[in-house]
Amino acid sequence: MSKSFPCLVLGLALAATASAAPHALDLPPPAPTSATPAPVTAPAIPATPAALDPAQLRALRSRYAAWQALPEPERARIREAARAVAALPPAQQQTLRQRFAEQDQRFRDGWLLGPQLGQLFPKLQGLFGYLPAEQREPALAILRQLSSDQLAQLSLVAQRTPPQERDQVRSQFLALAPGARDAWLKQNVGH
Amino acid sequence: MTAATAPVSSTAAGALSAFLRGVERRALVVAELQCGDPTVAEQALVSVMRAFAGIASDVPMAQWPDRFWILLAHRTPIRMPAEGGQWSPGLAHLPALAPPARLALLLRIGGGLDEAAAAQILDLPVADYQQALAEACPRDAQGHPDAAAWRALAEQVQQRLRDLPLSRLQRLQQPVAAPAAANEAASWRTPHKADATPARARPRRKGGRRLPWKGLLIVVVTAGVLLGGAAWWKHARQVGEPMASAPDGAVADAGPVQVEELPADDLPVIAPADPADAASDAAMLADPELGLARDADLYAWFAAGGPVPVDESQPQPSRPEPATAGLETSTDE
Repeated sequence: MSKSFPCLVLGLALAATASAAPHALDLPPPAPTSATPAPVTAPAIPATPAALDPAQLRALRSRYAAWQALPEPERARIREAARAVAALPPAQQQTLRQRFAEQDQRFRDGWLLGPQLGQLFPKLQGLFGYLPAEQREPALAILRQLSSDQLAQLSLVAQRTPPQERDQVRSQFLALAPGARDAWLKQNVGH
Repeated sequence: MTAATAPVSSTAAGALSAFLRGVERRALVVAELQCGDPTVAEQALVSVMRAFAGIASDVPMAQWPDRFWILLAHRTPIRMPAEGGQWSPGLAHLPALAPPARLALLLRIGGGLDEAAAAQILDLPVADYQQALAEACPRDAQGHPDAAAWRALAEQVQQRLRDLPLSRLQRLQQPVAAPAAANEAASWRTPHKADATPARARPRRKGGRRLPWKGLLIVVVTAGVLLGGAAWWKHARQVGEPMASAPDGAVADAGPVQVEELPADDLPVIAPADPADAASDAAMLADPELGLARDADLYAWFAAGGPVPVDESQPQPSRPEPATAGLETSTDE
């Protein structure tokens, strides 16, 4: 019993390789010129690790790992969104950031999974928000394989599953062969 | 131990196959890029999966990932790849590395493992693992860690992960999908004899048996910290004020609360000094997309239209205002 002795629950949203990191990254104020095409209201990131304290560095690593774990199409959507945000007037960017920051962290964390899963996260989190560590990777991999129809059905299942049955239902779903998922979803949405 | 044909609960079988499906793609890419030979990599991985299926029921699920990667990392063709491997041009940095450094790198960028987990899998202290990573980091002409090259390499490996054809993964699944069909003792409960060895091969490392040490050290340090804390606490309380008597669990301290401002500006800023972290951090900080990565949640939310979650613990306001005008026109005749 070394690393994780009680079968710990892990939010899907915690970055794949990272320990739970503080969410907000309070970085030093923006530098006058930034090399990245970041929106004007985004604080600049220092160029050397020495300028970050260990907690900031850990948080940054964790987010970086989560970013790298995203499928390319999701990253493309994020790039696109960043460009759109950067094109907004500064005041609007600020409002946007504030509106995002005001949300409950469990919802914000979901967006680390990318736009697609992030959007469904509030609905899926009953089933997938907390799961045993060993299910995390398979669960993410499977969720990313699902079509949007399947995801929609699965979120219905997640919302209709009473808490005491969640573990069982999730394990059942994760164990399905890809070809069996549609039938299972149909059957489980039904009741 | 039960008979070789002990029935396996379908949940356990399902969990095992889900776990293997979740890990096999990364494992195959790590194996393949480590030895430079797809066939050898597949064979090694098939053996590992079979061996893992043999021991899985005796290992707590939380330890499955570690045990699986340990089995893989300690297989000879992975640990000490034969000469003559082939790598694509984009991955030409890999064959230039010594096998241990290459494996350290691949576990990180291909296996997606964090440093602590990868170090444990390689049976190395974290500092040694980080050293291996630092050695594996591509260098520029001046010999400094080359962030762009690191990123390109990681991107290549990720690409490889994405491009791995399904047919190759399906080939891997066969022995695990039908453990009972495999001749003799390829059952769930009894480890396959030939394959049980890699698990045992682990103690070969000198000083590799660090568990007793580690356990002892943890106990000693924990006890020390607790005792020290208790002594300090007792002392602090006695100096502060006479103990008020209070029932257990109640807060009895009626003394004034002292509030001290923490120095905000002159906190020592200490970055971890180890070279591997420095290398991968430098690579990370040099990544032009780091700003995106840091705010990826915000942008993902924006990309999805910036929905605000419904807080179900609060009473609902009648209904949210319509997002766009002109949708609800039916009330007028």
